[in-house]
Amino acid sequence: MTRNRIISAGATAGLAVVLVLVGGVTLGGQSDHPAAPPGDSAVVSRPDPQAIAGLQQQLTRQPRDWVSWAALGTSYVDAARTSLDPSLYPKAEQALRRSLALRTEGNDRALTGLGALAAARHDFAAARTWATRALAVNGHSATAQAVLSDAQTELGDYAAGLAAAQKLDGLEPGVTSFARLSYHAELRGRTGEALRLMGLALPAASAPTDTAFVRFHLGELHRQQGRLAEADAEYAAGLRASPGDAACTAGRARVAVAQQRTDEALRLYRSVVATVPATEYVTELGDVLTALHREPEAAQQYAVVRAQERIARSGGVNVDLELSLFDAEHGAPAAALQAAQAVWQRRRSVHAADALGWALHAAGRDAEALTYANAALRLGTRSAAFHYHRGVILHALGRRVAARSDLAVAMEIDPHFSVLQAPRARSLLAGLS
Amino acid sequence: MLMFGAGPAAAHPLGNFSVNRSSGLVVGAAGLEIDFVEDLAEIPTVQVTPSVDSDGNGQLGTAELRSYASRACAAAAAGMRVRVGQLRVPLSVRRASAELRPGAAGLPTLLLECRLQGGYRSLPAGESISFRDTGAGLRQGWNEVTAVGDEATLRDSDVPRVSPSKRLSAYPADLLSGPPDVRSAQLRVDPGGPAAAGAGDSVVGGFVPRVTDRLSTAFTGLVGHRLSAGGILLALLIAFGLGAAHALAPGHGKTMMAGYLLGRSGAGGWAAATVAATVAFTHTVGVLVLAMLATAATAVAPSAALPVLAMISGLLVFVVGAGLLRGELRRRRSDGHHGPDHNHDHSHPHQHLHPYEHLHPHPHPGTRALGRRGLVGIGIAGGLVPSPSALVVLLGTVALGRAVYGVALVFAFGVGLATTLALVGLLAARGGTALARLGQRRLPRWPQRLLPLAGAGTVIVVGLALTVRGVVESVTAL
Repeated sequence: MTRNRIISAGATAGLAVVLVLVGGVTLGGQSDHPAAPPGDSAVVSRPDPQAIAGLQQQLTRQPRDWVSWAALGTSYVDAARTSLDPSLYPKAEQALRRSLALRTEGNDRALTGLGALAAARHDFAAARTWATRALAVNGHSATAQAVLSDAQTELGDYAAGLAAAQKLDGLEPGVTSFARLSYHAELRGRTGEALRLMGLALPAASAPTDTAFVRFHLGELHRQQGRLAEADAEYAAGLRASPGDAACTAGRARVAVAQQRTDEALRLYRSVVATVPATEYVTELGDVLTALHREPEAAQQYAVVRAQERIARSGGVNVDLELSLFDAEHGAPAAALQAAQAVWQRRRSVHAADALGWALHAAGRDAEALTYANAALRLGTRSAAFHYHRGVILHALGRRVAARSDLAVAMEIDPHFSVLQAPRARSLLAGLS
Repeated sequence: MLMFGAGPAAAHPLGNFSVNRSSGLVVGAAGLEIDFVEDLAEIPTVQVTPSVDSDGNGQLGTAELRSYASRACAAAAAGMRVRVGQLRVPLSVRRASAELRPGAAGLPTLLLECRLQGGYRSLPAGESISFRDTGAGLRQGWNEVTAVGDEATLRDSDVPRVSPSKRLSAYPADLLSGPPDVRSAQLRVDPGGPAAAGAGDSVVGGFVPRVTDRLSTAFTGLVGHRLSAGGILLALLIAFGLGAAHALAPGHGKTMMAGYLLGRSGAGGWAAATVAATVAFTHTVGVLVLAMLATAATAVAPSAALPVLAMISGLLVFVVGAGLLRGELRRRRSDGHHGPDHNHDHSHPHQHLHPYEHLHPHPHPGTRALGRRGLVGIGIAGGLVPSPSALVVLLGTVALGRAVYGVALVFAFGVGLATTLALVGLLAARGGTALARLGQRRLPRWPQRLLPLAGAGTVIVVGLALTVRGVVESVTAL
């Protein structure tokens, strides 16, 4: 009885971790601010507090239960990621290390948990190492395959990332594997297939937060192809499953912006940032206010982003791609470049390439920028932002024909891809024809 | 601000996004207070800054923080749902303050403190009280609720008594516990019990008038006394002593008056015993009746009943005083006629048992100047208004399932009260006699003639004053 509960609790926690990992990565791939890293990102679901409480009770009774320590540590990673509560990272690490100390050999659960923790802290190289070690112990660990897939993908080794996702699908087909396969299809520009794969995840999603997660991604896939009504319907369905879900609310706000229902958009964004003041949402709200020429209010939102940046820097952490893009577009090109270069040192994903190219452009180094803008599009991703960035860089280099082609593709993919950049894309395009 | 060395951006111990809330319920018998604290981490602080900084200079001044605090506390109060039984209790803000504290990366955090309050008319025994804070929304953070009784006893409670985070000042970092997410409390409460620590200025105990002085606190502290034979005996002795001391406490002019009257009657031990017994009996019965009323389903708040009793007690004193005056005047008239009062069928004018007569030191040995009814009236007046602390003790012991012990404590308290009264009476009697002798020898006749009149007049005035005060208090208690 007890044992069953522990195993199921561990499995639930593992699933949630993986979901959120994908949530972060997928979101990043498709938003105006790409590469929202896992952990900073939007899918906020509260982890099952009863599962955590059950594990805590079990460990109070049996402090040498290494299985429960691993499950608890993994649950803490999950909770930290979903609640954006970094105080849980050290707790997670202690619990996982304790499990590993109690059982050094053959403890793939603790190794996988440490991998998930490293990924949550954006140390994807370490995540890859932990996941590989876990798979050496237990080659059938679906959770370890999921962590490995995410680590490889974020490091820019897309072939290895896809291979791990396919192995995961073979071991345990479900929301976690479908979401990952969908993401890889999307990265390669196969949007229809991405939608189909994500649709498979819908009947497999049991928890309301899982449903909201899947609905959100279906909505994003529709919205980024300009199908606003379909997108809104998916977000609404997600909110019915999980009322107040921040990601789905933000999705509806984005649709409202595209449809120029700005009052509604502001109301939705404000409700999101009151709950989850993630950089992504706060920046978008500020940008909508800027577009409405309400600069003082926009400045209030940008102040929140700057405070987050300040905290990250004071903690000795390199600010991430999101903040790099923010800085590049909000008058801090030097900071943007520094951040993007630091990330590029650690990982070579298409999002890291895009951010570095855009930061180099903001710093006036367009010749170098083009190399990275090309690298960002090496998989053929149908991203309006990627194409827009490269079009602007080409335009600055005087390559008018190529610039026009990229800008036209950007507007064709999603004419509403950014409330501030889309009008610039339009006027640049008009000047080129 | 605590640093946990968590690596990425671990500035606030609960995350830079967190909004942490603590609601400390202090449940009294006529109202509750909520000690509400909200700790905004760095990012939420940046988010509220524009609404605090009303002059837009980027600095949060004292006045701006004060204004923010009253708004934020009103919002917090509006987000809370308190029900006592079926009744929704609205909350009002009694105190509000906000201060900035240094956080990570040179950014401030904002600490809001509110004292919220709501009242109710009555609290029947076993009443259920529910609390829910809807203000936290979906925001991540530490949410805790605590509850203690204040002259009320929590029979059931699903929340702790003590804040695990010391009111959001020290977040425990235990590996086996996460930040709590408690936003509601379900309580079952009985009236009566010791006062909550540190709730000295609270008005929560308005159901039972607040016990503040040290004697009363010592008495109410006996509620949870250990129940061994020696312990009970000791507790009874203490209760007796406290009752005796209570009679001498300030604000017991009525008791002193009763003692004075008793002394003037020159009646000696028998009368003193009569009065003392009446006081102890009346006091004990009064407390029992009030306690029963308080715990009955259709409860009457003792704080509403006490002024009425005080009024009745004042009227009694007034009647006694009026009787004295009438008797004195009649005596004078009959003295003026130089003959016995023809309305009386007694031949000796000084030996009849007219109820309220002759309080001046009339040096007739064995004179029962104040009749039996007068003595009983004085006793009732002295014992009618129960000591609030006795009421608290009884309700508290009932709540703990120790009703018999509580009745014994209250009775011992009443006996102590009565003993003081009797002693005061005897001393006054002796003093009065000495004064009378002195007067006969040396003083001119007029003070001796006026003294009884003045005495009766004083009794009437005091009785009237007590009555009026009782009326005023019972009106304002409505």
